Amino acid sequence: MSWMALWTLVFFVTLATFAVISALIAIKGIDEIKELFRELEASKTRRDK
Amino acid sequence: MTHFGALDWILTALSLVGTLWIGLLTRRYVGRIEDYLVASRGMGAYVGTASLVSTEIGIITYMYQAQFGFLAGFSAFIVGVITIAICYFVGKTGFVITKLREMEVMTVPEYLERRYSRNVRVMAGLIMAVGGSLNLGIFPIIEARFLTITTGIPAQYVNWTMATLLLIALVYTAIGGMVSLIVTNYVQYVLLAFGTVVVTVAGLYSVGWGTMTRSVTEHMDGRGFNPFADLDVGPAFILWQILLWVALMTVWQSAAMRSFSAKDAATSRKVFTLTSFLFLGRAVLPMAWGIAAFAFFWGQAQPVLPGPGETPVDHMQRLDRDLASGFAPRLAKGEVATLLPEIDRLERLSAAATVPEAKPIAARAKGYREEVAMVAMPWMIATVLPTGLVGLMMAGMLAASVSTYAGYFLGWSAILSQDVVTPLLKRPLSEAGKLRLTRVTIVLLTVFIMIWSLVYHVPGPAFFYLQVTANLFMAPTLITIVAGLYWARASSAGAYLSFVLGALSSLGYLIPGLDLSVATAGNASWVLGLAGLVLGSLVFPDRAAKEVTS
Repeated sequence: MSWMALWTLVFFVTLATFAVISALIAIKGIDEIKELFRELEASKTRRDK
Repeated sequence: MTHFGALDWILTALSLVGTLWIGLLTRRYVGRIEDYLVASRGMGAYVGTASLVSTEIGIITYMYQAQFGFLAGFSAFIVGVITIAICYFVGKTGFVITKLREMEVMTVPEYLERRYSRNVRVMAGLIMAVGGSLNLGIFPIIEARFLTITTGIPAQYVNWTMATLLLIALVYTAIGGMVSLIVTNYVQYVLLAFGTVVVTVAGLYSVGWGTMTRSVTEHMDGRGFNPFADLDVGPAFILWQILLWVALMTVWQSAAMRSFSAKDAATSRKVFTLTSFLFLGRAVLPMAWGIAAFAFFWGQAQPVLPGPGETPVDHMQRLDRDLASGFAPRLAKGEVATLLPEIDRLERLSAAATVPEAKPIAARAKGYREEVAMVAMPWMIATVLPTGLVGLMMAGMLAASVSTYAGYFLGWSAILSQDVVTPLLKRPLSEAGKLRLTRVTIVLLTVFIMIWSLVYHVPGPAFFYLQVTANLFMAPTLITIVAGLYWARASSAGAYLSFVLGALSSLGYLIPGLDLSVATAGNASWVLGLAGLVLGSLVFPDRAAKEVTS
């Protein structure tokens, strides 16, 4: 495989992977943020008592 | 001519106000230093990945990666390949990060006190804070150039724009710490990922992959594809990059803090595994923008010919004179398409000439090319992106930038306050005192960065400067931590020697006149850092044996 062919493959695979994982983060991240807030709220309540 | 219009200003302002508002919402959850620095260790894998990646991607990242792509062509991609390999390895094996996470430290130097001594912690913290601040210190001035070009803000107001960005990051970081960072980073990541894809697709659409490869083939004289054969990259550079990235992925404070903030060691490994694919994009995509800019402007260039009866030496001297007087104003106007062939011709003429002044002229020509390489990408973006799209891109870029400032403010101020100031105090601080101290150091750090970015001139490509300032402490930090975890005889004297020798060799690149190449300085830092640790430990062992892993 030539260097040019290798870098072409690397570039397009990178672009596709970047887009897919970013979409995954956008979707799954919301639940994780909610969970973090729940835990921080619980921790705050314990501290305030 | 930029297409940045009213709609773009509205999109940009909304993204900044939204970020600030979200950042401030989280302040009610911060009561202890552990909430502030590691978000009570409650971070999940996807949000953690967003936080890590958005911290490590700023406008500065796009600028220096694009500059490197412009200068080295596709050979620059090797850095992305190294990055994914190292990050994936760290994610899969948990190398160093698992042990540090299990020990529940909050900063990297904290481990050094547990394993070596308090003085090692303070010295390491000081070197890290200095290196980290020097690294961060050039961000505003380079990012300001991007903003001036893409938005058309007059140069005299751009410093105020940068000050506003720093202030936004300062306010929500100082108040909300890591909790605020994690939440804002999530939103910022979504914006920056969208902006990155938009610019990449627009660049591909405007320039075309075929034009990019043809342009590198035609104008780089056979260079630009094989990283092992290119002088700017080469085997020594590749070796240094591998070592440096192992350190960046394990003990770079802002990356390590994400590991410390994760729910558990398994989550932190998953963060690094996911991040590896995004870090490939962090390198390859903006490098491709740089190559697209290279092809875009060469596509508009006209041949530079000698005047009637002009010898090659006369031609070289004339070009040198013309560029000495006209380079800066022409670059400010975006005349990249006419500057590029003139600089290229000057480089060729000075390389072939045997007259004594050829060498300094060649050095000046190299400097001009680096300057053009730095701003070519934003000039291309300003030209090809239409109104509306440029605003979305800017929202993404500013989100990237603010998240980077916020992440680095917290990272370096945590080290300054927790590892340098607190250990030197005679009595322990209360929780409120620790929080106050960290907030004060964030403010001081912001002031330093504003001043440093105005007074310092970066030697050579920004990519190299940033990596050398990181290397100042990365080599000795990783060496002393790995030795501390896996070699029972590693001693405090060895750690001191490792930090001093490792830092000195990196400084060799930054001191004008020494002319040390970036790869030599980088690799020397690793060799001397390791030699210092081994020699110091064998000759001056610690009196009492220390615990190795906890």
